[in-house]
Amino acid sequence: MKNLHFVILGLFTAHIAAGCVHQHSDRNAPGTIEDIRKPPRDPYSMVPQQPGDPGEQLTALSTGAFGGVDLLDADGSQDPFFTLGVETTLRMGQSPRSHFDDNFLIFPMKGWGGSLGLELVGQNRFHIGPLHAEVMAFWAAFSASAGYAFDIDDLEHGPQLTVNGGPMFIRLRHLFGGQGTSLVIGLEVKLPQVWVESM
Amino acid sequence: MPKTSRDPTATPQPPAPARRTRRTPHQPHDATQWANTLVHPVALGAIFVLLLNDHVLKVSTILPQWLTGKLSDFAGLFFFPLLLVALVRALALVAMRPLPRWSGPWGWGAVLATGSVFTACKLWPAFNQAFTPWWGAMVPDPTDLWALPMLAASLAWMHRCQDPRSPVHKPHFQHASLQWLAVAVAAAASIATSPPRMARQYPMWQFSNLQTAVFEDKGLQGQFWVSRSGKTGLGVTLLLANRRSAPTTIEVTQATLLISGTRQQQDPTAINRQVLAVAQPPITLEPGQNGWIDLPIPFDNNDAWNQGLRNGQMTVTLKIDGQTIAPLRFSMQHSHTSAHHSRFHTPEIPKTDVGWEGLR
Repeated sequence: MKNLHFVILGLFTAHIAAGCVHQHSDRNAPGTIEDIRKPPRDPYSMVPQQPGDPGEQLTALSTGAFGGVDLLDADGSQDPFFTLGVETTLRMGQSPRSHFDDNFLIFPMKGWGGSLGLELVGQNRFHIGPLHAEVMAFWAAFSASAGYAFDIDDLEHGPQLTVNGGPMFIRLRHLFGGQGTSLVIGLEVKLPQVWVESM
Repeated sequence: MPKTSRDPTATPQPPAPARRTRRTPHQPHDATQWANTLVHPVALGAIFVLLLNDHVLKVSTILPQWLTGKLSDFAGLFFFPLLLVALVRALALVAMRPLPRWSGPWGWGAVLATGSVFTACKLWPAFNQAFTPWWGAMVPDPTDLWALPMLAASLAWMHRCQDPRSPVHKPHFQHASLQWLAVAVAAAASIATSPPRMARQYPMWQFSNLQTAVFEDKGLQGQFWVSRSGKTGLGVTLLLANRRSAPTTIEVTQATLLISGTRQQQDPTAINRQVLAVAQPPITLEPGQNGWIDLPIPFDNNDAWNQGLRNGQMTVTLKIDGQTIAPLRFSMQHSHTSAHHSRFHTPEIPKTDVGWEGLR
């Protein structure tokens, strides 16, 4: 089971190493014509009608690290619990307007997605797990996720909710067993790879 | 014994306030306060709104276009006069001169200059054309003048920051390097207002050899050109010029496009597709008259593109005055030079005009 942790860590690391890139697919490249049967406005101009923008589908895979502080003190001590982990997020969204290739930010702005994460430090100790999976709805820099967490070592599991605002997140999780409930507020840093395809 | 001014029971009088004159400068060489109007969340927020709007919101669909078209103007008109005065104060600081007041002539001048140039760009096309090439694109929209009251807000902010009693008089971040950084960011935001340029370029059907798209038959001249091309097909328009001495009737009896590709398909019959143009009624041209016949060819052009079917052979059969002439054939290609092009430089449209006089 612990080998699975390292495989996941390896995949995360490889994706982070790929950096921030966007790739544009040539699929569905033709533009839209409102009514192909309608003759040109000026037949003598010999200037072809510019096709309309069909919009595009964007898919972003972002991988990075997250870290935060557990605001609920589980063991009764006054020391806060820190947590650190890695996470990869898939976002899929559509845009009615195609992107500009030299735009500052080419990223889906609203849609659905999911996350897969692995905690590496929890309860102030190096502790691999729990692994969590979430389904997400996002709009601009905000997202709301709901999912489940499973600690491979302790075999504890439970539901998890996460709300993101830009790089900040708040995560509420309850693991049935010794770990109980945690409310983590923290930051995440991810590098995205984006694939763009016309609609 | 009379009480004197040294009477210990006398209430101490506050010192008389320093007389303020127009020419009372700030303390010279005050490196921590020379850009205090900019080093504040209010001004920094305006700069952030400008950057966010120009580079993210304008090219996304998060906010409506009418709003994104105004946000930059409101934010820019607020902080740009602050930037102008800050630059003057920076020069004074470097030159070891007294810093000009925010709310003095420089403040008023910055506000008036900003408002004048902004108004001229929005209302005067000639000024806009001369100004925008070196500053950046500014859409001449009179409704943007609704943002002019932000200049008053900018002036009020300078007054407020000027007042030593105001809580915003001292900058939030007093380190000298942060003052320079704030001005640099404001200057960069003012300059980098150009929105992204590289827009989508769409593939279009085009004739491989333009000369093959023309014909002449005993004084009747004709030229085909691709008037539109998109996901749902393409349209070819036939221009005609009757150089004959008698009226001439022209009819397109059939027009087909055979689409093929180089990619091998498992089903050989799927490699080529033949599509037909929509039938059109005949036209009659008087001597010396020009006319046209439009041939829309509807088909799933998007699927053909995805399947790699991007070569075409068009065959047109004409009947002129009831007599069928030899079919006209020309090769076509569905392609584009690149996936993106600068939207400020319209891609060169392939020449479709063979130069016949009087054809237009």
